[in-house]
Amino acid sequence: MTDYGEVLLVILLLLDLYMVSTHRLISCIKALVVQGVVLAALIFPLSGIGMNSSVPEIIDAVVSLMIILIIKGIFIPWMLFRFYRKMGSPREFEPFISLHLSQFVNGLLIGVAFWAASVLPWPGKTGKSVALGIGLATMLIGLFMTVNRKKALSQVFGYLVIESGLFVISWTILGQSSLLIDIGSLLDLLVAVMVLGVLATRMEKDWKEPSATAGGTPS
Amino acid sequence: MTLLTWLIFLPVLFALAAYLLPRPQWILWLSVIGSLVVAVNAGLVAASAWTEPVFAQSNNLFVDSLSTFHIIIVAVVFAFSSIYAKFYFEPHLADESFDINQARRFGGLWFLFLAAILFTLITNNIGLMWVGLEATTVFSALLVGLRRDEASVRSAWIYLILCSVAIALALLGVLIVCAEAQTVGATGSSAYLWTKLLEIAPLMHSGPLQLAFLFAFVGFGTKAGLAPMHSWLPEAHSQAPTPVSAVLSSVLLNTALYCLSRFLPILEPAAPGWALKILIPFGLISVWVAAVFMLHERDIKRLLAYCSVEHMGIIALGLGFGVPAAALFHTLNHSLAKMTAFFSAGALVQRFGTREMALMGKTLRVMPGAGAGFLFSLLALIGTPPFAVLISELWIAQAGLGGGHVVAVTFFLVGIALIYVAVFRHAVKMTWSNVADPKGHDGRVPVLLMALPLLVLVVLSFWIAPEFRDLLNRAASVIGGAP
Repeated sequence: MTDYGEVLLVILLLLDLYMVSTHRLISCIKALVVQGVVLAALIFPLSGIGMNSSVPEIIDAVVSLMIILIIKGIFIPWMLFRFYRKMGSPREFEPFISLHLSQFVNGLLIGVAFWAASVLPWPGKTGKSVALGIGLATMLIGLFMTVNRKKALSQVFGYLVIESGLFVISWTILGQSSLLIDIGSLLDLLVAVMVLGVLATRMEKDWKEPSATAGGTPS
Repeated sequence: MTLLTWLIFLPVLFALAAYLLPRPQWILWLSVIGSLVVAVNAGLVAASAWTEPVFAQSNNLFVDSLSTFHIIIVAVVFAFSSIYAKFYFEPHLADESFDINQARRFGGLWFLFLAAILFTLITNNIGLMWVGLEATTVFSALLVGLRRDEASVRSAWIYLILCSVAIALALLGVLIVCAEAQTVGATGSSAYLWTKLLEIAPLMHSGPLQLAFLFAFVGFGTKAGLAPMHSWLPEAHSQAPTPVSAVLSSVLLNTALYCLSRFLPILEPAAPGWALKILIPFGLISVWVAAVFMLHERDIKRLLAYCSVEHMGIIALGLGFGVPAAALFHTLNHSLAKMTAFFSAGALVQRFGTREMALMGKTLRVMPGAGAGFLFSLLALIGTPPFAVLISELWIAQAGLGGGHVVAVTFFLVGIALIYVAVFRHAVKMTWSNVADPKGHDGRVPVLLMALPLLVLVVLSFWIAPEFRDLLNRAASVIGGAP
């Protein structure tokens, strides 16, 4: 694990904490852009592909990097921004737990993640606990974000953070990027976010806060 | 282009065609014709893979007996549901609530959904299998929210976000298995192929495989509607238009369990019987959670949705007791009965103008066909003879006793007895009680559409065609338990 790889991982974690700590949707969108860039940059240090690897592997990694940059760093934040505007640019959102308590929970989750990274039986690679720990922490924080938000669109941020953590873990344990699966899951992510955004906009514009109540006309 | 690639391409082409047609009626006809064409293709694929697995596209596509079994169920359910959809949407054509835009969305998404399910069933790459399942989530969520009213959009939202988050965990499980495969020597993209994973399963270590299975279980189990990860199911299955509900309950849940069952033979050499120990308690919890909620349920479609939770629990129990043949047989029986139940329930809801069962009565008189269809399919679902659902349930219970799981089987039988009483009450009240006149508009469902599956269920309880029984056993041996 190169030094700049570890720095990038720490930045990733700080971005997660930032997203949990901010009131404003627009700040989250900006953080997602930076996170997309950091993720793309993490491919090489995490997967261990470098000067010694074969050309096809390097090409695969570069293509993955470009696609992540475009989809997670540009396209998805842009889409979310457009949904945000369509909803009338809501300024703040309230979590279920207070921000201070949220940060405490985050700390706990990071602790749990690093414990899990060192104790659970991960395949093969040892000595990658830092990357694995931060990847798991990102996933857990993302899960927490999804659960802790009232506004529909902000739950989407949690989902995106979970996926970021998943990417980190997958490159760490797989060692080489599977281009096909990276593309497949990114496309899935893209379409899912599009649909979620459309649904959320509809819920926000036409009705009040989304909640899990049933009802409506019989079908 | 082989038969297998056509299996995916055809639905995609039909989806595109749906967007080009100018009239809603034509799109409904297209959905019928399209599903029949895909069903024929599926039949040909099934025939070619009946005894020996079929590979295509340099081993990236793979159809063995397990896939064949599920493909047959998918083809039949989609064909029947498309025919039902034509009758279901007809009243809405008249009052223009099913306009060309909604029709195009329905037609396009219906076939894309079918393509995604078939892709999940025929891919050899477990990463792409995951991609396919997530795609089914996205397309079906849009189908759930088709009407674009408040309740269905909310249900679609809950469904999409919950299932997407859950199967992100399943992806982690998939990736851990592939990483472990790489550790023991599978190189490059072969680490993602299920056939390769099966081959090197004895070499893999139990620790990572067990970790992977836990993640995969949470993820795929949520998608399959196992309790306690089932909370999205009653919302989505009840708010969706009824043809969509039928397909969600009768096909999509099976596909999620299919993905999970692909893991079982990979775990078996390294950790024999371990995965089964996880399936049993969650199977039981699902049956009991369903029982508790069904006792007090007032909405007809939510009742059927909880019934799906119950039956997925029973299938999980079958897998957990080590009789995958019984589990698969139950899958078939449940799909046939549930599909019929939704068709008839949908017609009743349209006719009575409400989903509240308390407001429906004398169904045999008001709508003899749908009333009888609902009564018999409900009786079938709760395990009344002479329908085959009872046979598969007893088979599973017997296997559980044989394996020494006496406590589990006791809980199982008490659970389904509770459900029997609860649902029987609902069925009797709906069929014979005196309530106000129906307020809705016409609901039609062809009697043959309901009678055929019910008849098959009766026949199955006495006789299974030898070729089909062989397929069932071969599919079961893929999962790896005693047939």
